[in-house]
Amino acid sequence: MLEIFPCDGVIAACHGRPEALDELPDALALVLRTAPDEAWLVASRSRREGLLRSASLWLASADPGGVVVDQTDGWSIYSLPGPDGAEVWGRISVTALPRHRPAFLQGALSGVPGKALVADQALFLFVPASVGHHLEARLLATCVDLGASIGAPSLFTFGPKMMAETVR
Amino acid sequence: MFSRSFKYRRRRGLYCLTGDCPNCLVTVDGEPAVRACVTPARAGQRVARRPGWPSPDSDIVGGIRLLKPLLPVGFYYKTFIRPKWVWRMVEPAIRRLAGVGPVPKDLPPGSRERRSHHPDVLVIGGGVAGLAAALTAAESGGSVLLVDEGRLGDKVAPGPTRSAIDRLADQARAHPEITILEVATAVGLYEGPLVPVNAPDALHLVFAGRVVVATGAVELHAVFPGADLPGVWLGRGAARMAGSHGMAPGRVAVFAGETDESLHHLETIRASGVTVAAALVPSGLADRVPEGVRTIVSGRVTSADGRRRVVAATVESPSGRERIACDTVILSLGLVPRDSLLRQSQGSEAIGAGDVVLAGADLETSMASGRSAGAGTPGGRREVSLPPPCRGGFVCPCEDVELGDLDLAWAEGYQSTELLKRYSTVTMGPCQGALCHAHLRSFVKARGGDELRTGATTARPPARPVKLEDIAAGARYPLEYHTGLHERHLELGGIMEWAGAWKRPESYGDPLAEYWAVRKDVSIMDVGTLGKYRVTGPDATEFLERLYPCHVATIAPGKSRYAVLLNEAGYLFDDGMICALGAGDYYLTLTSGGADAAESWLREWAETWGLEVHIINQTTTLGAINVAGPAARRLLSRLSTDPLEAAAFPYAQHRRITVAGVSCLAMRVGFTGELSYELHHPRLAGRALWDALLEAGRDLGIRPHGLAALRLLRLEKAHIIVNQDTDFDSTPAKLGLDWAVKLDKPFFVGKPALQRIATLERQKGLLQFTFPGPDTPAEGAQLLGADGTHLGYLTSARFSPVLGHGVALGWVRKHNGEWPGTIVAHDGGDRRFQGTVTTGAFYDSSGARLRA
Amino acid sequence: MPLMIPCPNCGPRPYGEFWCSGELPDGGHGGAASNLEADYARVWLKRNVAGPQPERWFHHAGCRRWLAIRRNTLSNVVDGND
Repeated sequence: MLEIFPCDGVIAACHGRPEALDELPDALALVLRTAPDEAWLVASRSRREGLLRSASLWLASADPGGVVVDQTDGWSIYSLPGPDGAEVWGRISVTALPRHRPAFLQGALSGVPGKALVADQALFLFVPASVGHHLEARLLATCVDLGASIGAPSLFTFGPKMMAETVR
Repeated sequence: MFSRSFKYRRRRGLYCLTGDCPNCLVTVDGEPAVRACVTPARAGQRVARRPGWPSPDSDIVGGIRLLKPLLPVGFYYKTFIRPKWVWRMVEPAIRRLAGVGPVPKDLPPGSRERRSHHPDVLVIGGGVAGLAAALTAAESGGSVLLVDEGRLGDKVAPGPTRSAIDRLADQARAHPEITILEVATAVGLYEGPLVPVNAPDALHLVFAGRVVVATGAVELHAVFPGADLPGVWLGRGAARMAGSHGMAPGRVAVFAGETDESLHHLETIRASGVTVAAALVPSGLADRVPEGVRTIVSGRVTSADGRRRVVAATVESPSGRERIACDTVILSLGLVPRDSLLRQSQGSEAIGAGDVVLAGADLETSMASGRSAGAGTPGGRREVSLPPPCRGGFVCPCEDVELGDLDLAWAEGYQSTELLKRYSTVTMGPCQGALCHAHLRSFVKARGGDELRTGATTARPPARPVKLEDIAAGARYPLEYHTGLHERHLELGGIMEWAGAWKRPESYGDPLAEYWAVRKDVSIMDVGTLGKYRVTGPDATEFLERLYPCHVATIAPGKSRYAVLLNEAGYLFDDGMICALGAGDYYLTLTSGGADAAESWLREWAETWGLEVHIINQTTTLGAINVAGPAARRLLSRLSTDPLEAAAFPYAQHRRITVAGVSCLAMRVGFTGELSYELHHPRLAGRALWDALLEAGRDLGIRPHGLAALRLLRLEKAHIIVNQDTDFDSTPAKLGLDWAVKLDKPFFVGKPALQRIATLERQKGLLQFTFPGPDTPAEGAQLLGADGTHLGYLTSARFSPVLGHGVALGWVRKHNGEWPGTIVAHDGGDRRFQGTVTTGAFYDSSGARLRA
Repeated sequence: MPLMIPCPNCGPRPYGEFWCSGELPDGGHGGAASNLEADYARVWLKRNVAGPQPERWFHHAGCRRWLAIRRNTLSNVVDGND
């Protein structure tokens, strides 16, 4: 049974000088470096206001010309827990999964611009909110044989449990 | 009789049983052209032969071959073409008569998907060489994918080869690094290498590190008069029939064999009960023919006689010519590599192994060749000599091309393999040359063709027949972009239409009522598809000054300005609003259609100029709802305590306000020509905001409006829609938008081009027209001058309910150096429409309503 | 894989994830043009090289940033990032 969970997260997009963003503390939240001048801080939605405030405070001192923008509403996040990640991957991407974990990838997913966070015990997919419905439909259609279904929304969490000892 | 041929509907029987010839094509469950010999049977399948008339067995329509003189090679250039009406009559008949069966129109659309694989090695072909290659490649630790178009070993009759395959297959199945896909056909070899593999469960896109092609060889096809009659078999086919399926291919056979393998086939066939009337073998094999079988040394079958099937074969040998009565002719005359897939490879990414490069090699050599290829080194190559020229018969059984057809084509000047192929369609059938390609080359060579003209024709995908539906697996889902209010529109009865990549409501059932709601009461529209960009950072103002042709630094915080974007050629490609949020902090809106591409434009220039700006795409993060109509302010003040009167919040300005608890950036805009507030809000708060507006505005006559109403509303204000009213080369001057361009600026993108263009006299412009009365020409109507000269066409045209006459925009050329004052519109019907050129907005030209 | 474009942020990605802006003119795009003729040549006249050509590509399905490469227009071999 492959369950696909829509995730409620917060995405604090930090825009600033590359040297400043290099110093972003990962104690704040999960850091996804999407471009030299842009880094996402991603956490559970319950932390939304606090994270945006902390990020703005930090950036104000690291790079006063930078800005933190709440991009939460722009993205749909899905988590596919379990080790099925590699099996699902071939059905939504034409590229090979890298071997290192966790792996952060940016590129087309089922034909839409997307981002993926691949861990041993979970696969997280980010697509623009305007096409979240499309990814859901494609996952259901391509993974029928894996018993795919859409689960109830849950809070986005990414912690050490995602990185189990299993070696690929 | 198993099937009927493509053109002449000749009776055909089983022949190769290796998936190469067209003779076993049947219709399965309504799907025509299924190769019965490589398709596993399933209970419940409905299998039918090509229908003849009146019955499959006696087909009067086959009398078409009496018309052969009218149907020579290339006949569609020669016969039935004059007078012209003859072809119109004949073509449908030919289409009905020819072919391999009707295409069913009522099958449900397929639901197969596609998936991607990235093995280190892809092996195509699961014979001894392919399996050996897979095992070797897997030993060195790579991941291996092996595909075979049938089930492993199916095509080979029991014998030493089959045993070897079964043994190797067991090893391969047990190996953790080897994945096997059976009944999986490689479609072609593409750059990459990429090999799409068509399997029953999905279309597999295989992006391999490297490819081993072990597709084997086909037995040499026999070309002589009568060689295509039912009863003529290739040796491997007859052996498979007898050995694997336990059915004798006939009762009395004439057998011709050239190789060691042939003798194995002879044994298998005799064991099934066939009486061999004569065995034609070369002298070297004569003493290995079994006792009791009449042997003819160095003999050749030169014709097979019979009408519905073979009744006798004519054999020529040094001792003379003889006609032998029989019902079966079995020919095992050597092997030709099945190499069209291998020849598709451009470089070194594909290596051949086994029979496909060493046709006729023994088992050990084939396996060694496979091991070598599996390790990455070429598996050897042996040149195969072309067959001797033939003297009559069907060269191409797939397309019914006879030797005489090739002679005629040659005489007409088509004197190379490539030209003969295109003119006669030889090698273009289901076998893709597996049977006839060698004979084609031999034909050209015998007529003195040099190497270039005798060369192998270019091999292209597909290597095997494949349905378009199969290649479209997983690609049939149109990608729809939805706003956050999409579900709401459906619930409200929205009729959704494509607007670029988005689905948007055209209307909610009554576009005229929606239009009047905007003009008279209040209405809301989902404009969440607009491009939205926050541009901030130390160089933001300088950046936008260089990018836009208007002044940007002079936009005070709180104010907005309509602006156009020009490319370096000075042509307009996008438009929208610039809002100054604060010093050096801006919010841009752009057209929905250009929203995605705008980011590439903005970033390109920021990088080129080395300016420090932050370009933040909020197109999806924010939704937008336009509240428009004379009662708009009244409605909003019911949901917001922020100051909304004109003095506090004038036209062409923006304020951050809270509406129904949702924090919005509200922009006063003028697209519809009424008092409007465009509320930009977080996407997920959209539904609450939308519903609150509809609820609070009930007594004000509120209803939502869609694109149909919008297009009419903006046209009454003579506002352009980019890509509807603009063309690729629309300068601001042509559009009457000179006021949006400030040529006194030191620089902006497109300025040098506009300066160059300004030295030329403008000949073309987008003008405005009114048409009296209720009748308005359609969009696209052509515009003529009073003397009938063609001057242009209408890009937008509608009847205006509030004005009571037609309004339009259209492109017009100067006529005799002057802009016309009146035109005649002609939209393809019988009527002509008299139009008058006007300037300024058609409706509320002073703009008092939107500045309220 | 068929033509892969080496994105400096995302690694090699299939070319379908990008928009190609085509041949990069000598001296890149312009600032204020001192010479209308030079500007005209830069905007309109392409060399259309049969061989290595400097190009800019935009990774629209990924990081949404520009990158520059040299691609051989005959062999499609990409020479890495400029």
